[in-house]
Amino acid sequence: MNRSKLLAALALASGFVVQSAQAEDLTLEFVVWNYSLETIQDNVKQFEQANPGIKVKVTDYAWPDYHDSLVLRIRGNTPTDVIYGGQDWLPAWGAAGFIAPLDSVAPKGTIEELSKDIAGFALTDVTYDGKVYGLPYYSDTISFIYNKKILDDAGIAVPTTWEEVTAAAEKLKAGGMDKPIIYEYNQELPNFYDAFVAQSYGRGADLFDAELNPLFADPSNGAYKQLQWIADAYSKGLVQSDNHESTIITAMNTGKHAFTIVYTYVLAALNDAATQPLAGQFALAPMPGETHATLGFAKSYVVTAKAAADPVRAEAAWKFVNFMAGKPYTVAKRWAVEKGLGFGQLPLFEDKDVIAAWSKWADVGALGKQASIAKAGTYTEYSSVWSAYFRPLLAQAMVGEAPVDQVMKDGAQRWTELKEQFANR
Amino acid sequence: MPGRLHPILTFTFAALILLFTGGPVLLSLYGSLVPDRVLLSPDRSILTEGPNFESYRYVFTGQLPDSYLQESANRAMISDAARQVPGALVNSSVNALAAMILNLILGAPAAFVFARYLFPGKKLSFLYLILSPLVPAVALVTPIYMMLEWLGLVGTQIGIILVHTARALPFTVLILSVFFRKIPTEVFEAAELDHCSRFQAFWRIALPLALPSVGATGLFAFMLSYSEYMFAMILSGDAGTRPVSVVMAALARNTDVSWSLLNTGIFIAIVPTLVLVVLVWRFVVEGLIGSAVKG
Repeated sequence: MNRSKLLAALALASGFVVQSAQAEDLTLEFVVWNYSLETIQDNVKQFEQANPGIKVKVTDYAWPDYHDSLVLRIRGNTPTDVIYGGQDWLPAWGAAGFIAPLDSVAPKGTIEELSKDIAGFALTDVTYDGKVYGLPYYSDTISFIYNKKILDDAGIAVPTTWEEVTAAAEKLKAGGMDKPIIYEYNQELPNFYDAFVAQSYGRGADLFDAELNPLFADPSNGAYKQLQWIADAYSKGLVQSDNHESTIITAMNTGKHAFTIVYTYVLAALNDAATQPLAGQFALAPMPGETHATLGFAKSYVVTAKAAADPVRAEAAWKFVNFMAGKPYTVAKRWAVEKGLGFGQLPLFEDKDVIAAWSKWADVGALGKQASIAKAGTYTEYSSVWSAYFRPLLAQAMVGEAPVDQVMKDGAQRWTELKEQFANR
Repeated sequence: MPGRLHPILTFTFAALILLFTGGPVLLSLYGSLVPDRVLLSPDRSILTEGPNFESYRYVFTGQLPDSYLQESANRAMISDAARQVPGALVNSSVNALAAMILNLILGAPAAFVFARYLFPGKKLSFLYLILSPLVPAVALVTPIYMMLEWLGLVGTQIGIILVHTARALPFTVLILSVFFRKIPTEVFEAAELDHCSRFQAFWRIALPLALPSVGATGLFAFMLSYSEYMFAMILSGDAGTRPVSVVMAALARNTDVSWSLLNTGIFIAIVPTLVLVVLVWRFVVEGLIGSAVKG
């Protein structure tokens, strides 16, 4: 009798344990770089309110430490479910099995449906091996930016080709402006290569063919011509080097430079009435060249392979990603309106709140047009290794310390070597 | 007087030292007291506009500076990482205090044993302890992370405190063992005659005699922990556990921080550190030098 009472008590107790475990919230581990953490936390709070039973714990790292810290987390089996992904990291993470295609966690057909709204370059950036791994958190393009007042005062039309940029810069120089172009010249930064690719795209160039063979060593290729153009501009004394976009903002606001080529979000900072003395004088023009295309990129919400392997976590992770980047794009819109962040979801270019917010610092129509013709970069498992090799060569060629043809040949050769190495792994 | 530097040279050197040490502090103070528009304008300055404390108000209360509320203001440049600075100062102080106490609890007895007793493997273990700081910290990041993850301590202050304690312990043992070695043997022999145990000899005789050095090494451990970045960065999970070194790195390296806010963060972060250093540095130096010359 006592034994049966004991068993009954144990069964009852185990029932409580099971029930309380079931009632316990599932906690997703969300890892981000720490841009605007309060907004992230507030978005998370709204998600939790809309999805009872799911909690989200946010862990953040500074941007420069993010990639290495995240790889350490995943290698160290630290619970990690949803992460911020970058276009240049995605192929390596996908190949390493760190992340899962969104099709494996989302209801059938959803990703295909959402993909229709995503700008072409952003969709390419979140795709690896034919599968979509992320939905855009933030997307942007590289823009050709000019000072409207300086050009108006000098009677110069907005240049549409690189030759016209040279002519405008020479005219301004003759009028007393020492260095009309300011250029982010820092071989340590990926931006340095990205800006070069954007300019090459403006000429209609492709740097690689469909089989990932390099094309840029051919003198008729737009990238080759563009590197020659930059080297010429430097040799004519038209270009001021600057180490970082943040200081380009202050330099452009001195009125001593008329042109620069930077990420579009810099335009928001240039025209920031809260901080900049010449706010309102800056505008973007289509990237000079025959096609006016430019480089676009996307950062995204990505689900880890570990989360995708657990059906309960996978479902929760998808709900979270869909809340942050899916229709009706409430969170993406919030980032755009409150913080001026770019987006990959094209319908937002027609949203009246976005237009009202962005019109304060940019021509939204021109931005939308630029996004629609922007092209993604070429990212492979080895592209970051190659970029680190190529950037110093590029830097030397720009300032005349190395011949353009040799730099392009060396860059192409190194790419081909890496491609073969990684194919044989 | 022969051998004495000319007063003008002395003054010049002193001025240069002051310029390079105090200059950045004053610049950060200035940068924190004017909005970016004034800071970046050649025509305006704190003299024409007066000091502005809105960045400080934002850091401590979250209320946006007025300049960010106007039309066409870009709020992308108002980083909330700056708001983590006050909390991070508390976290750093807790970490450093705990690392200091643990260092003394573990390091002082170890140093005493190394200094006064013979035991098998003494030389080898002492060498191991003393040479271990020569291993580059970056080489230890992954194994330490894995170990702490296994222990469930990643993202906790305890994890950071343990690592900081381990990083400072070799110095504590080395410095204190040098001091303990210099206490005359006769003192301990007399204690033995009075039936003092080994622990009593350590607790009642060695430790009181070594107090200045113990204080100095403790403060040294405190400062090592307070300024450490790499392990704090990978082991602190969120703002609740993040020390000031990590928050300052985020402020200095993220692109979403205005100059005024960055300077405010820097100034708030360095002032307590400066006060602490000014107050205790003399004791640290005297304690360390004392351990080297006494005996």
